[in-house]
Amino acid sequence: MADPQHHVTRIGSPARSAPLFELLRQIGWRLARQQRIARARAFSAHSVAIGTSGQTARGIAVMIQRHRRNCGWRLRRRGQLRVVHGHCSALRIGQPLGNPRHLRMLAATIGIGDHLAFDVARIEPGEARGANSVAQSVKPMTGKASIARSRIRPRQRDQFAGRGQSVGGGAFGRSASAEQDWKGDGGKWVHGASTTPVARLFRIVLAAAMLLPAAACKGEPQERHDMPFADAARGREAAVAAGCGACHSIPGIEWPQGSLGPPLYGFASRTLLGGQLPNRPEVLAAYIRNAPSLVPGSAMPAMPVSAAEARDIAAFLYQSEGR
Amino acid sequence: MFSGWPPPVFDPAGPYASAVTTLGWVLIAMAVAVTLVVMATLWLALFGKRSTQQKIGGKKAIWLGGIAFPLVVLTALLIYGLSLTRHLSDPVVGDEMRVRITGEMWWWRVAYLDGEGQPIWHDANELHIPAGQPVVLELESADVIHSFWVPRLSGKLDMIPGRRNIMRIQADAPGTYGGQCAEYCGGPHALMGFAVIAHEPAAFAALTAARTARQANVAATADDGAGAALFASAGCASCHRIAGTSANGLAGPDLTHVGTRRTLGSGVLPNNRGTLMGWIGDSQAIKPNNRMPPYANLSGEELTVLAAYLEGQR
Repeated sequence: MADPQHHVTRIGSPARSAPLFELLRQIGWRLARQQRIARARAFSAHSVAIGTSGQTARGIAVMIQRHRRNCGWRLRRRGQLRVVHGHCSALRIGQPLGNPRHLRMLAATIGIGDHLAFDVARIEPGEARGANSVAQSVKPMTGKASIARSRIRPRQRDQFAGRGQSVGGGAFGRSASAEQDWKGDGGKWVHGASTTPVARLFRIVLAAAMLLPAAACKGEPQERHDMPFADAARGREAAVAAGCGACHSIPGIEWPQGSLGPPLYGFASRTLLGGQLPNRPEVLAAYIRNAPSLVPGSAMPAMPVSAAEARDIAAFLYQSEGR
Repeated sequence: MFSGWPPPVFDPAGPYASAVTTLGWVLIAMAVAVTLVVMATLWLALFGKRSTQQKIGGKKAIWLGGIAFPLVVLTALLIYGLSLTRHLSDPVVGDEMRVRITGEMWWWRVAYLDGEGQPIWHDANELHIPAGQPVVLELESADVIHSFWVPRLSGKLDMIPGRRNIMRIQADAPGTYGGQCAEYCGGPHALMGFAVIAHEPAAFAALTAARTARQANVAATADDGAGAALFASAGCASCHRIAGTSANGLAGPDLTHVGTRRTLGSGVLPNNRGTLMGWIGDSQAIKPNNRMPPYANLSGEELTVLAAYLEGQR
């Protein structure tokens, strides 16, 4: 890892899934395990700093710095400001994402950015200008992703995986000829320095293009779960009256916090309801009223609430963010 | 249970509670009057004329204002209070309805008694009474000191182990009246609620007849069905009784009429299938340290069957 020329990335795996998906998953797991942003921090400046000239690194770092100034106070409070040593030793960078939960949500996206940064870093100093431009195009995307707290929906993730297969060669996809190998032997190590810088650059731009839909896939929660005719305050009362707390711990309801069912926090940013339904307001309201009719076999029984109360409860769940 | 305005102590719903409320207002009025007198005296002692200050500090003033005045006022208040509330603990004189309520950790055992004091039918955590008639409660405790308090219907009386305290309640109009254990009795004391439901006399007679008939049927005939089988095999029956089945445990609340209850867990949850399942699955998360263990071994399907079975116990 110390020598970027010998950075190896494992693609393909015993698991029978597309190479890109597998790669994303691995990076994501690694990030989530670490519970910190070490890799993404490497993306933001560190690796670029080792691999390119100090001038370029400083330029990128300043851009990142400006971009993340908004959450700087939070990082400072947590004592997570770091001084990066190297060409730009005075550069201070922090954690781009506030907390581990956001990190887990974004693990895949950050992982790609992370990987891109390594590629950028490996480009020879002679091509520093190209590296800079790539880094500039990648940065706003990951930055935007972190602000919108977007995640990759399963469908889009699958699209990723599909495109990953069709992308020729390199760290993200496999060449058409290697496709058979991947399906056959499952698991192979590819040397990071095995392709030319130009090919790598091309790959990076391609991957950056694939990242765009991920960054834009979800709007702000308020827009997606807008329920103009429901009232969250009424919803809380209805939830208390129906005794939802007997099975669920719900932010905003201090007691009871039952343990039979799952805790109901962060609905605004979930993808699935009940393990299979799309997270839309009308679906959530219907699920609250009569879960077994939507998910047969669900242990959650039909609840004695009216349709209007169910909508109110859904609005209440969408607006409660805590955990 | 006691939310809303006015507070239930100031909103009596029967003659016994009215006496307590009246006494409360009189005490408050007296306390305000005495406070005003003391404040005025203090003001005079600090800022009044020299002669007034000497009078206030004199022996005569201390004897009169410091000893005679409180003695007279407090004695008068005591006599007034006792006479006002003397009927609250009257024993049975005619054919009043009798109910024995036993405080348990942390719920209420309820037994409706006949004229000889023998239980006719059993229930828990709820008391059904006819409106407009006095009801004599025999308050006992099975473990520690509890205190029975339904503020809109009567006063507050301790349930003391080894003693039987008598308290009368009466509701003038049909309705539901909340109650609460008013003496700290251990962990979930705050979650030991109670409900009194007053019915029209005719409706109450019908309810009593139906329940007496159900509980008099001692033959275990209703033991069929998946719910009853699960109730027995999961171990529920060793602590809970359902009349007419083989379930005859006495450690926990009687569940013969659990489907009709207003609340679960002694006044802590609304009663529906979801809360039943939540309570059975892990009541410890809802009412920590209560004596019912969590049943994490039951599947969702089994919980549904059990909850449906209990909903049917009416």
